Amino acid sequence: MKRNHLYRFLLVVLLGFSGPLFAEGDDAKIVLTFEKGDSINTCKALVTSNDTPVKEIEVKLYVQRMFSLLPVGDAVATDEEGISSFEFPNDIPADLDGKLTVFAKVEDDENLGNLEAKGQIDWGAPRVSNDIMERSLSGSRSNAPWILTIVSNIIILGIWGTLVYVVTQLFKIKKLSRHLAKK
Amino acid sequence: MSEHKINTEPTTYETFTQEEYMVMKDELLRPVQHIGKWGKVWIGFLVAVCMCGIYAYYIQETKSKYVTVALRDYTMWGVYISNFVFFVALSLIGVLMSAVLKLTNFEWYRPLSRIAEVIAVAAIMLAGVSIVAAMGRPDRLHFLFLHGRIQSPIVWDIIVIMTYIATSMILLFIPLIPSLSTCKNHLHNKPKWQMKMYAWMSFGWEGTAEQWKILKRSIRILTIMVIPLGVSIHTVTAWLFATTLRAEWDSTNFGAYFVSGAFLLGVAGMIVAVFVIRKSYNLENYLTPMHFDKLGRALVLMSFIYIYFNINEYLVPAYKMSGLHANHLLDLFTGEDSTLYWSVVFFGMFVPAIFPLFKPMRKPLPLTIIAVVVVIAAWFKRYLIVIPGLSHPYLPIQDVPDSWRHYSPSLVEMTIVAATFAAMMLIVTLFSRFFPIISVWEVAEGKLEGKDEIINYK
Repeated sequence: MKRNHLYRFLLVVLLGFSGPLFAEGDDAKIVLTFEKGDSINTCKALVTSNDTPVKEIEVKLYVQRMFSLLPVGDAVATDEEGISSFEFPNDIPADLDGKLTVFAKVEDDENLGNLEAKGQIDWGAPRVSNDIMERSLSGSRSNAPWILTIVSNIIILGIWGTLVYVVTQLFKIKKLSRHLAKK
Repeated sequence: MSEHKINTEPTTYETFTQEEYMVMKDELLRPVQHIGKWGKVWIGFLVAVCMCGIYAYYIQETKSKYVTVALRDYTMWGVYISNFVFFVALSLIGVLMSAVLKLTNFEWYRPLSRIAEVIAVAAIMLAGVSIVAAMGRPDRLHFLFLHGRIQSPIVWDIIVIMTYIATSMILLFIPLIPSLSTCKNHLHNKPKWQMKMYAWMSFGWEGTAEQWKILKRSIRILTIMVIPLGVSIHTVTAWLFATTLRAEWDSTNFGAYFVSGAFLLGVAGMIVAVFVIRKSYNLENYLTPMHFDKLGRALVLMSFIYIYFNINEYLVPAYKMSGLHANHLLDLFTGEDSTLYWSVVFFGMFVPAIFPLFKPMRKPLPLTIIAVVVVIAAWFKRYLIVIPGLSHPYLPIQDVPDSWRHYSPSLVEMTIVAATFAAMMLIVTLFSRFFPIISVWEVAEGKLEGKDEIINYK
């Protein structure tokens, strides 16, 4: 058993050193930049290998959603300068400050394998909800729809009023008996 | 008694024939007058089961619920909630067996009405207990009142349950007043406090024409009011499910489906209660084979109505078999829960719809056996409505421990459920040991039917 552990340890050490060695020869990466235009926002992904731009590589753009990544448009191939340009839509729902996490990915490329870069930008459409402030079913307690408040209160008061009336009748029964006793 | 006649005002009301009344009174007061050995053993047994339930609840609340209860992220509602639905359904017994029969002038309701009302009160109270047992943070119960939103069906449920408890208790109490006077005047060898209680609770009842008039009018108001209330309480219970975003509860049929199921359970529960009370208190003269015959017919009617709503509830989505509905329905029809599902269909709907069609099956014993089967099936029916669908959420279940995928109640949960049943029977038993379980005056009044007379007794 002990020898077995030793082999495993050696294997891990070997792999640990070999990783950077292999990568050194092919240092490919994506640099993601955002350019704000007058009407159109552009997202640019520069693909380089050993600091040299790589052309005709398909890059895909995604934004982070709650459970997975949402593709933004189709894949765009890099140009002569190694850049893929994406027109970024301005209607992607985001949180209150409009921040989106954007991913640029090269997937299963023959030479470069898988590459990924991510960046944050406030180009999302902030999802502002006034539900709690407005009179609605999803509103707060004090902002219930008028119709619901009025109708429910009428019903509750009507029924409980009747119950109170019936209970007062009980005391009337008692009063009648005392009245007779005095006689 | 005659020297105490106080009905001196000019009135059309007459004094009831005392001889007949005295026999009836003795028979109906017997369970209150004397509690036998077995009666005490029964009460002791029920108290013991209740204590076990209280201890189980103590364990549940003091240790982690993750350890004591089998509820998980997916099946977040378990037997407590299905038990709650069962008890709410059972509480509609008061609506059907007392109010509806009374208002539609079915005279045979008379000896049944108080039995039905006391079961209704006990059942709705235990429904409330079941909800508290299911609560993750029972210490925050009062938040529902402080911060509850009227938009939420949970708040509607709390409102309607409290209103129904209040109405049912008053409706149980008001017709009891003349009986309390009877207890006060005719029971003997009872502790002083008990006699004082009768005197205090009988509200100075002397049976004058004026008092009768007020009493009858109050009963009538409540009887009319309790019907829409009862229907509301179970409809709101159905809406708790139907307004939740779950495929299996996504139904416009749910309110009517629940109410019809409650009426079926109500009749079955009534048959069992009548049989047990009749045998244990020797009340064969009042709870007669005629009552079983009528209840058997009612059972058939309610079964067919319930079958109709079940066809709507299951066959229409099954015809379409769409998406998540299909998961749930196939689970019930042919999958994991199919044995339970088809057993419930057979015992809970087919048996009560067909068997009591034959006269011999409407005799007390066979009908009670059928009713017991229906009550058990009705409990499992609520289990099938609440639980299996929870394993098919909209977001698929992924990478979770196996215990999250399946639910089977823990010992703690089952002990608490058993205790709620014991508590319900204990309430009914204790009530019948302190107050006449059959309304003396209502039965007597029935015997004078058509004579425009009313009983005046003390």
